[in-house]
Amino acid sequence: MILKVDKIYKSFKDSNAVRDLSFEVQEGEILALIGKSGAGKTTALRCICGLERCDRGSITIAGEPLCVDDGSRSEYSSSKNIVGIRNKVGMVFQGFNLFPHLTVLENIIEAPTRVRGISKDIAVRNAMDLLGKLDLKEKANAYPFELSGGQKQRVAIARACILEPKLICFDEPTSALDPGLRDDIAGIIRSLAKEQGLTVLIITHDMGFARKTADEIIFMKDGEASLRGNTQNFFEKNQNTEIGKFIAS
Amino acid sequence: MTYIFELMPALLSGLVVTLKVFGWTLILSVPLGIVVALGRLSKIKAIGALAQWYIYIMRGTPLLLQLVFIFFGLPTIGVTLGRMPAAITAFVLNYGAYFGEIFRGGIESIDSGQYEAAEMLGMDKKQTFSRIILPQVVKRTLPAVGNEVITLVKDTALIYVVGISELLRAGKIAANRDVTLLPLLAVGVIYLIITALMTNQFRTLEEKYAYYQ
Amino acid sequence: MKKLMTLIMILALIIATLAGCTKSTEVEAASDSKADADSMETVEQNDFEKFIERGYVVVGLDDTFAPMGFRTTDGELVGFDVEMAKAAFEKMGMEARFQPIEWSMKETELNSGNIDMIWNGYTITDQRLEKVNFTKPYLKNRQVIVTLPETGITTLAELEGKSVACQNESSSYDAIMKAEAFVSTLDGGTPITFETNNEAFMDLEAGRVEAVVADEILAMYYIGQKGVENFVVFEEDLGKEEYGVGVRKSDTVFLEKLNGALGEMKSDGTAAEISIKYFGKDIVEK
Repeated sequence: MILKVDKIYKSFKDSNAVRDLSFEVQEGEILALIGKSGAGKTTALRCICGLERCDRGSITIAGEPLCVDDGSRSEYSSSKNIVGIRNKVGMVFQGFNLFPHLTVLENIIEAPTRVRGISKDIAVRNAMDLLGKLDLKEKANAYPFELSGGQKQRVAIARACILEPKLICFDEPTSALDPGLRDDIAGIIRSLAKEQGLTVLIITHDMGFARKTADEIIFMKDGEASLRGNTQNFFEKNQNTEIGKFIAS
Repeated sequence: MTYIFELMPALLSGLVVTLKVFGWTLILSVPLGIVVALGRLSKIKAIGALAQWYIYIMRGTPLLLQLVFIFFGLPTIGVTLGRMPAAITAFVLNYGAYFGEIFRGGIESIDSGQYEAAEMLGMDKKQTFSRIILPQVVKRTLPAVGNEVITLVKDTALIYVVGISELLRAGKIAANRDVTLLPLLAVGVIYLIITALMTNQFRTLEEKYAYYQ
Repeated sequence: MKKLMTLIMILALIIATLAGCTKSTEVEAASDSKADADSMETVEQNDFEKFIERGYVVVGLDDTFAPMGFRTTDGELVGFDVEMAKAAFEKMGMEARFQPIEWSMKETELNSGNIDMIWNGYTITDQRLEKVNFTKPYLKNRQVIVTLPETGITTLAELEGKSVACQNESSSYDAIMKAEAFVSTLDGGTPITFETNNEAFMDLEAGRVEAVVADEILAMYYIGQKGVENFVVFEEDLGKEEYGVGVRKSDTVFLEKLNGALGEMKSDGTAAEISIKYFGKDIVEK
């Protein structure tokens, strides 16, 4: 089990963004959290990545606890431990967040060389490998502003993957893309999981995309996980319920 | 004009003093500005407040007054500085505040996504700031910094108040001695030349940073 | 936190204001406390002995002040007062170092110890006597009024409703203000002041003011450079004055010694020689 989320709560000011959310993700699985905007999916994702701190609940990544509920609040590991745990998680942001002053190649090798201390030659080789797989080799020396949305996303994926995370998260991967590109990204994600063995967590409101990509779906509403199921069953079974209406909309 | 020629030695030695104050002020006030900006943005309330008050006082009082205060006023509480050190101190403190605000604005304008991406990639605060944030801040603040630098060239004339002779005063001496405005015209031209050089430098720098958007 | 900051700010402002009007008593107090500490030993040094021990004195002057103290194109310091000072200290066997200062800060520079005397066409006035001590006068001076011939103005009365210029913080300014009846007739009720006499004269020539009031010596220098026919100097004047050297009130022995040296220069003709060099005639006050 790569990710275990146990009864996490997170609220901001006066509203509960995430309430009593629990789920597990097994190695190599692709899980999609779907739901309306405001349902709490992004907050949940940010808690899992460590960008937000939960109020209550526990999160365990690849067997190591990020935070543990001690009965009154979420107790977080020491900063040193957290760094180690976070190294196992990669994130592809909705806006990509590429570093505009670095080339594509430099964006990708920045972390391996500066943070992990890997030699530049090895890092460059690995980076070019990834770029090859993502069909971006000729853009290695381009700057982010010269790329299209789809290309930027692939760079963001490469930048996260070169660090060999166990879990890779995608925040609304289709929102910035043309509909025609959805298939491409779905294909990339599936190959990451099935061929590389990565575990994938996706946040999306794009039903068609979730259907095409994920193994398992969790439907979130008002901060809670309202339903979980295997993709196929999920979409067939829920046609007449509220969920079904949401899916259909 | 042989007269202008005769004036040159005195004007040029004044120029050397002007450039000395200019140079030292830049070298010291830019790093100070970064420190002040970080202080202003600090999560520790006391530091943030201190930075805010420092910026307020240094930007809210005339540089001339600060010069007088540091050179003439500090000795009354036991801190005595020589003329040049006092002048440079006043300039550095003053410009440090202006640069501080410029850099703060630049840092705040960087999207939080940049910090989050760096965090997710495992970069610590120091790496994030020096490798990701600062380079972008430099590009964004270049026009404003250029402005301040050009203002600084001319502000150096204020050191007359602590009895230091720089370019403008050298011009005045000649103007008074020979009872003519010509030396001041020459001084004006020299300032224009320096300003042109500075403007050019910054344009080149901005072009250098135009390699990305 | 806010309260502490406000307190510091107020303190800073107070210090800044005090710096602007440093009283000589502060310097005296400082030397008194040192005297107390030293009196444990033998006889303490007086102010003059301290100068001897140090080996030099610092003469404060505004080096833009032709013809009293200014620079040649080579940057060499020359002028009537400069040569007088050099001669006086040669007699006293001491080195004279010249420190350019900003004229409006002269008393502050003196009382803070940055300079040891003000020797720069420094007119003796009652106001200044409150802040400094003067040597016996060494030069006579008048506050003259200068106009351009084309205005046709030759008397003070004709300046009613007009503008008059003078140097900032100068005895010209004081003389104008003292003549209450006169100054109230001026446009704006006050003279227009400038950093230097030169600028005042430039304004006159530009026609923005109708008259300039300045020390006769400085006015004659300016007019001499530009051509006497281009100016009119009134018969009337706004006061007769004398130049002296200004020293700190606490430097009593030094003052005595300096007076001695100046007296010698007057009697042995050194002063007269320098006067003729700069003014063409001997106008030394005996």
